[in-house]
Amino acid sequence: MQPLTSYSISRLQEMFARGTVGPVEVVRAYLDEIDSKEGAVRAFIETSPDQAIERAKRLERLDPKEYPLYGVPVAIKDNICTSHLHTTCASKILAGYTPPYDATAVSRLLDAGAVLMGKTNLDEFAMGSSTENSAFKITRNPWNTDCTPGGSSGGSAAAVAAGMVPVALGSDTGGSIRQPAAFCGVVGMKGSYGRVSRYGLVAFASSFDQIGPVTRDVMDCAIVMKVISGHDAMDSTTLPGNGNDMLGSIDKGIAGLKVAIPAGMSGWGMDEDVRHSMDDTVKFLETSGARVSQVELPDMDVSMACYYVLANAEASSNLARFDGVKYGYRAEAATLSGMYRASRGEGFGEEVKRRILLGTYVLSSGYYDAYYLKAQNVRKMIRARFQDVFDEIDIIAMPTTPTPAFGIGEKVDDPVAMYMSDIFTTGANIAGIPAISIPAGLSREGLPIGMQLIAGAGREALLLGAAGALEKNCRFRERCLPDPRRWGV
Amino acid sequence: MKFSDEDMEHLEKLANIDIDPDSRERLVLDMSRIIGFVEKLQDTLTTGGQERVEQGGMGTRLREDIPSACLERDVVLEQAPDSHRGHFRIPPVIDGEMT
Amino acid sequence: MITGKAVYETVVGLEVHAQLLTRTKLFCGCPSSYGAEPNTLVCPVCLGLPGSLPVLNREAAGMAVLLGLAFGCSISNRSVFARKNYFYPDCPKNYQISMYENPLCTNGTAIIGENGRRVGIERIHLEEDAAKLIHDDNGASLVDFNRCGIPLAEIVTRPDLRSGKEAADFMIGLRQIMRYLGICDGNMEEGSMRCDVNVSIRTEGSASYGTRTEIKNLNSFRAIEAGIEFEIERQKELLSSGRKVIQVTNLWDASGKRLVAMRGKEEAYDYRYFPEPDLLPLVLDETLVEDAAKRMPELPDPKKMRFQEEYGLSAYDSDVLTSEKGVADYFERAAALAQDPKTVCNWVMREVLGEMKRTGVTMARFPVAPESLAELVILVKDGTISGRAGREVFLEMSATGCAAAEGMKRLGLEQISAPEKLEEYVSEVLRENAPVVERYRRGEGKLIGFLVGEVMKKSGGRADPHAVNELLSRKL
Repeated sequence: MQPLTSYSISRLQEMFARGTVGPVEVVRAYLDEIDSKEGAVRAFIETSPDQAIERAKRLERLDPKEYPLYGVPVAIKDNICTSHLHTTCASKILAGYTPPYDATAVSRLLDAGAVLMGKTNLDEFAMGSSTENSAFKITRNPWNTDCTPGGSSGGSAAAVAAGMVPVALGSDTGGSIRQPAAFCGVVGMKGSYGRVSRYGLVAFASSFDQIGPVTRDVMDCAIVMKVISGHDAMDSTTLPGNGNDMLGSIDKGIAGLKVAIPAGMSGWGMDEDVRHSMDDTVKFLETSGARVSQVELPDMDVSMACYYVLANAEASSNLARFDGVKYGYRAEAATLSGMYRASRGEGFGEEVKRRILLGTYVLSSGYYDAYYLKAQNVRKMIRARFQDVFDEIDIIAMPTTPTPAFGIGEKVDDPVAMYMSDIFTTGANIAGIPAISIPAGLSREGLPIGMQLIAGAGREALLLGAAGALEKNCRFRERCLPDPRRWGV
Repeated sequence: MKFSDEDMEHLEKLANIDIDPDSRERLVLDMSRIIGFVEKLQDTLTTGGQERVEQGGMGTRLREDIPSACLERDVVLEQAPDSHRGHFRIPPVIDGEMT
Repeated sequence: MITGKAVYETVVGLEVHAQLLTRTKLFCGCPSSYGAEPNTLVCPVCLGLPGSLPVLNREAAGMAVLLGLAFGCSISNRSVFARKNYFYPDCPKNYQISMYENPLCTNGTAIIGENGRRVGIERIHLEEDAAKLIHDDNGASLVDFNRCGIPLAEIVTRPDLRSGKEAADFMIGLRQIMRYLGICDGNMEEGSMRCDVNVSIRTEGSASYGTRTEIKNLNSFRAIEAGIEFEIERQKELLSSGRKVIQVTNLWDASGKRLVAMRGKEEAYDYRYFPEPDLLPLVLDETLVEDAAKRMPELPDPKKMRFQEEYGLSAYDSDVLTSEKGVADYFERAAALAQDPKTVCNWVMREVLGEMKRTGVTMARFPVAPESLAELVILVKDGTISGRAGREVFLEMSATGCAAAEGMKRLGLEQISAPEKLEEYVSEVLRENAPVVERYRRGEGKLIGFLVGEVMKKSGGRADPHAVNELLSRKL
């Protein structure tokens, strides 16, 4: 018999419905996985085994058929508010903080019958691309524990990759779900801006942030997206409607779709193995009936610059509330401004400080026009370009990252080099369009390579259908899984 | 653009963040590099295409003026670093002192 | 060539913050009410807890639009909320959600004072109120977030005011209009209407402005006038003695009648405004503006004119009656029922407003309903009771809330017009005043007045004077 922790959501639902297995059993099986692997992977900031078992027991009295995620263990990135677990954003400034409310995405998961297993590690306040900027721990890539899992949702991606949970929520501001999903060989998606409520997501950059799922396959991803998507009265930037059409095109495949490959990809410092994967993808697309073309995308360097100016401007304001007055860390000082400056100076890590300072700089008098306003105009231009592109084609296909996972410590001293690992992902955030990363193959070093598909605004169903088809072709999970024996488990 | 020590001081003040003297020099250098990196925006022409406003993205949604539940005060103050008689307590505020 | 002392002109502009009378706060559903225990009217949104997001209150937008329409502003169909970034513990997010480049209402006009001066309204926008800071005895400060997030309309005038008196007049007029609109109670002492003032002076006739200073903490109309006049004198002294006015923010100390400079404002603060990404622009749907227009009541000035034309009231009376919408409505209701606007006007001016002043009761809670007043006016008019008795009845009605007839009964003031009873009084009076009767009969006709008076006295004022007069004439 297959281990309990290997089943997809829909398979699990069938088993629950037939009564061949119960939530307690499944939750226990996953807790065992966490127990045995967490020491090496360090994906969690906090786990909640007792609460999970309690909830699983309560679920056993309910009818599985009424809950689309009945008994499904999920982990939540620790920048998403949970009222019964701490929410720290991996920052000293929020250590020990428990929010008095659940994020909308979390309550939707709970209403759907999911079981919270714990909170996953991240780069502090989701600022980073390697999960090394955590005040508490460095998460490791389950495929090679000397490598980072990517970031900022590195804990979520590593937890799913290592089989500690089948589903985790992440947040994606410039690629923070897709990049770690690519590094860890799992599926990660962010919807159109406004598809999933941000209520309860501790804001990094409000006009870019989206919560999204990290799962083992595209089908699971679609099921979770369906649950967490939809209008929320608490977030006035959410799109109207619900997530009901998420699974609408899941079996449609890719035949007949117009798929575009960005022109001039060779100039982007792409790793050779990534290029091979990309070539394989193009071959597959051509043979499976897609109409493949090339498309000119906005200059990626400029996109990155635009992203860093705007995201950090918003961040500098969003993070102003952490001041030692109402919650979180306070450094004692005789004066108010002394208290502010010391609390923030001691409470925030280096990267967060860098970004707050940059964001403050680009908004400050004398620089606003040259940086913030200019970047806003560039953003409009980029959005317009993507709109034009999606008038002509259905899907853009490209690697999620230029290289597979990099080594721990490799880029910590060079912030700009670190930023460049998001070069392929920020475009979708700037334009507010849906994008998904699916595992497409392994590098010669045995590290996963992710392929990214991007669609026009509001076209998640189409995107999931295309991703499903590509996934079927790659057969990634049938071929390869991280080997825990390599990290001594 | 050159990012100076004075710029750093000004930002520390605006952002209310004390920068550790040990990491100060490196941070000034980092800032110069990051600013150099975003500098390429300046060369970008932005007279290109016009963004179309998405359907449904026309304007902010409005809430009806109907009261909803408040938080329990104990729950609110439980998270406070310091509280006193139902209030958050902080170091003395000098009138008009904007920090 | 002009010699001697320069003549200075005062230039004043106001920034007024008015708390809107919505049921809930601007961006969350917490009640926007007063007097609750500290930190009990709060939620993740108005506390600025991590992850919380603002959602705009439709009613607040409607009220701001209504105010804009009242001043003839252009209403922007696409206004943008912005973040004003500054650290202060009354601001839980350390940014205030306000409007900056694209405010809701612009370019209006207010008309103030007796000579109808026009004052430009530069803009009206929405923003959230701050928390309340209390200074602790032990040298700490305490924060109560109940007030935080209550909707404020910020009204910014052009620098069109020319004296402290004009500034106070503007505020009185603004309060009157906001009360008419039912959008703000305009209580300066309690802080539901606040005013920051920018003052400068310039040589008369000069086209450019002088350096301006700001005065805060002006929490009464009197303080506004006094604070501005004080600052003008100070600036005049500086300029006359060849010194310069320095841009500064002062707090008005009403008890000592002096200005206290605020600390730490040596440079203009850099608020780093940028569009609030958590809120899309406020795009006014047609219904919102239409609903506001439908709610627009007749405003004080047109009402005043109408009272003069329609009811033939004096300018003064019309002014007093329209000072508050409640009083005007009261008058009109009673006047319509009594079918006698002028008499009702007198009653309202003297008795109703007098009683309100004496007891401090507001119009809304005034115990004599306009229907009851109309009843009383009719009783006096048709001679059922005398005017003097009517006033006593009014006081009884006002004290107990009873109807006019009931008040009359309670005071035993029903008029005596029964012939037998009057006959009895008249006979007695004639008997007791034989010498007067004699003189009357010899031709001193005016003495009848004295005799009527005697009968009235005997009846305790309750006899119908007309009937008494008639009866006396007959008997004599």
